[in-house]
Amino acid sequence: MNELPEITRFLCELQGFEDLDEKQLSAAAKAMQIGYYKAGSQVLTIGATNKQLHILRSGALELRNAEGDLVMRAAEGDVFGFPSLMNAVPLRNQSIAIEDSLIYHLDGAVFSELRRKNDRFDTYFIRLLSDRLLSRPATTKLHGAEGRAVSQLITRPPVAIDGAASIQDAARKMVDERVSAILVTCGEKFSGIATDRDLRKRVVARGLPIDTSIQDIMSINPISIDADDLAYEAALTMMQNKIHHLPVTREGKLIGMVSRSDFMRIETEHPLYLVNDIAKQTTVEGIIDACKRLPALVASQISADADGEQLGKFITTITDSVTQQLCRIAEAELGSPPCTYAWVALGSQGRHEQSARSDQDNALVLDDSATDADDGYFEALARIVNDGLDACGYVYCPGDVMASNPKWRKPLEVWKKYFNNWITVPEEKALMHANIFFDLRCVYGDTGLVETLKESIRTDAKRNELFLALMAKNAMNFQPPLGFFRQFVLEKSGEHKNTLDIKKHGIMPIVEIARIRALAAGEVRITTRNRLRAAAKTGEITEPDAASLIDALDFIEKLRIEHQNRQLHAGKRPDNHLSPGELSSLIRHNLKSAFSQVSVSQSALLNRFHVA
Amino acid sequence: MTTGRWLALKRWKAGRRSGNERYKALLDGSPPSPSTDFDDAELVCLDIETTGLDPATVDMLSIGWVLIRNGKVDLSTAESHVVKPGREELGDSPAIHGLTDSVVEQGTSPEAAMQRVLEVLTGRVLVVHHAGLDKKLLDRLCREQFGDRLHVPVIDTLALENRRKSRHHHLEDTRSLRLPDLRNHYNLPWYRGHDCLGDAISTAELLIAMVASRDSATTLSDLY
Repeated sequence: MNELPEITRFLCELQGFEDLDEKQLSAAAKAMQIGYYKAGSQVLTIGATNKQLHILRSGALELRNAEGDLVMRAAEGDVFGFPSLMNAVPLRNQSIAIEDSLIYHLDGAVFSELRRKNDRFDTYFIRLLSDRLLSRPATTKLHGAEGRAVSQLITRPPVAIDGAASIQDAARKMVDERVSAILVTCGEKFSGIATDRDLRKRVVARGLPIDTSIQDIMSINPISIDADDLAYEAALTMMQNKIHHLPVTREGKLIGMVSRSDFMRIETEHPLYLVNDIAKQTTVEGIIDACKRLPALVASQISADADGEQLGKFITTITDSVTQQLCRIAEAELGSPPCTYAWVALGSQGRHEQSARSDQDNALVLDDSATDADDGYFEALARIVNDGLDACGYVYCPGDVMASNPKWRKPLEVWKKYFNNWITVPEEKALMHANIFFDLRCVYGDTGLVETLKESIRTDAKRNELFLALMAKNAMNFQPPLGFFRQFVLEKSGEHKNTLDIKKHGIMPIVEIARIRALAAGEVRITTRNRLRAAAKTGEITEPDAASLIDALDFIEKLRIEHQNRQLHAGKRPDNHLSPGELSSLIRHNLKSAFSQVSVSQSALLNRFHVA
Repeated sequence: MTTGRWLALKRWKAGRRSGNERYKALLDGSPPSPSTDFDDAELVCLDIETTGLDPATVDMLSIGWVLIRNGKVDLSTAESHVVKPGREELGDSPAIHGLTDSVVEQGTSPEAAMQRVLEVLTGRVLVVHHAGLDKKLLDRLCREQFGDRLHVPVIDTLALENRRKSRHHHLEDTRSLRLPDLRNHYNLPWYRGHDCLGDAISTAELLIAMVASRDSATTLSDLY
């Protein structure tokens, strides 16, 4: 007598679980652990592995992404943690109890077992997952197989045969074309489908003669899908109907077929698979190997029409998981660390804005209990991670802003002093090199250390006008090259190698403006677009100014992506140097207006801080 | 003398007296030391339904328990048994507990139930709400069967809340210490109650809530 009536009574009223039978409900109840979380405490952390489905029994909690944006607020009966569980990837959101909460943690293996046994339960969670992927804010949306149109999955024209043909002819055609299903037509119209399984079940098993016509054994009017539907809908349709092939039509006309195996092929291109693969590696060599797939993945993201923001997020996600796994490998090699620490990404990785090829910029923040003797451990750890990143293609920082540099491997107190110095006794020269430190983000280890540091930066910077003024002055080092166009127009041909560094002259000026405006607004947000939006909300920058800068950034990043994509396809190492030949007159015109916008915003920034 | 050493001495003495293997095993499998972190210990939250209120005379009608491990209530360990009464006729309580005579007749013997309890308690800590009744009854049954009382460390959630209240000088606080009222105080959901396994889980949830509400890290000695 080990029934758990209280638990099953609660479960059976939840969506999804209501489809389970008594035995399955009881199995679910017995596979649960119950945890209690005081208001304010963290239930799940970003980057951790998740092997359970979490059900809020009572209380309330909030899911927030790495940016701190609210993803979802959960109330009694809500489930969370299913995306990471179903995709077997590290957690992407942190969840914090906002009231005292009682949470049921359902064992992941039993959850999968229930999905296998109960189709309705399975379908409910697949749909929930799709909804979550599609409703994700644009900033975090990843382009992959599930977001593409079905038509993009079709690899060949349909293999079809007339309904009057014999079974043997149909089978021959299937062998010749190497397909496991054949479409059957009746004149111009598509009337059915026959599969390997049909031949086995309806022909061989029944001993039908091989000259029977194919239309006698085909499935009539099979389920089909429109070419413009999304690929995930095709996957869902096949799963729900337990079929392996799905004819694709456009305006009623047959244009091809997709099968479950098409999905398997395309799914391995999903960025989450690479993240997952990296997280499984136990050696640096393994990670280097997995990273070799990155260029092809970037190319596929671009062809799926990812914009600069999405692509930056995507590439940074991969870099983060490489970094995290290298830290884990280092810890496995060196033993557990002598005190807590945070591995911090700076610059573009910190901002989630990496491009196809970015350098590494990083640092280590140690707990204040770290002694001089402990530094040996962290030096070794930094070497392993810095070398590993370099070997994976994230080349060493030319300015030596890396954790292996003892200057950037310090306890929290020292970091606070660094920032306090930069902010309260600012020097133009020192600040020029320090600006990427203001784009700090914890990638691995104790997030709390970095949060404490950020809070002290936020309060220091907001009040300090001199510091902000010098930052603004420094930002002028990156000027949009309006002269580029004049020169370009003059030099129609010739040997002159007139290339444009689109990062230095196009993207960095916007990044700088956003960083300073956000610091002035006391904002801790870190991506350039979010900084601009947040600064606009507080009135630190005008709404139209912020919106135009975001548009300009979108446009310039798009140019960079297309440029790097051409290089990737040509097997070259991507860079930031655009040559004039790549720009059509329309693009030149648009780029010129984007640059003018940046110039106007720079002047406004100088005025704001009274810098001549 | 500390709780730990005192308990060890009593266990050693009892072990020398008893001839029962199961009972010896309980005494040999040493319980977690008082300095063990709560999250590292295994605790058995247990509840008994009885035929009355006097531990000296009542019989067990049913018994249920669930383990706390890693600071979480682990429902895969939930277990309960209906017990055939030894002596007394069924009084009013069956109506409360929902156990009819015929269900009770199909139950395990008190001896078999006690054997299983000893097995589960080996190397673990016992948790009950109001030890005055349940622990005393277990002691009595244990003495009848094995010659000595049940030597295991005990956490009493009711006594624990009582101490917490007096420590914080909540003199004006006349809140009831009944399980449902305490659960309410810790923002735990309402439970139907009155079946032993449900009450055991209820007690387990209360204990993890109490531990989570403490300001500092908790060891077992903070809870005895």
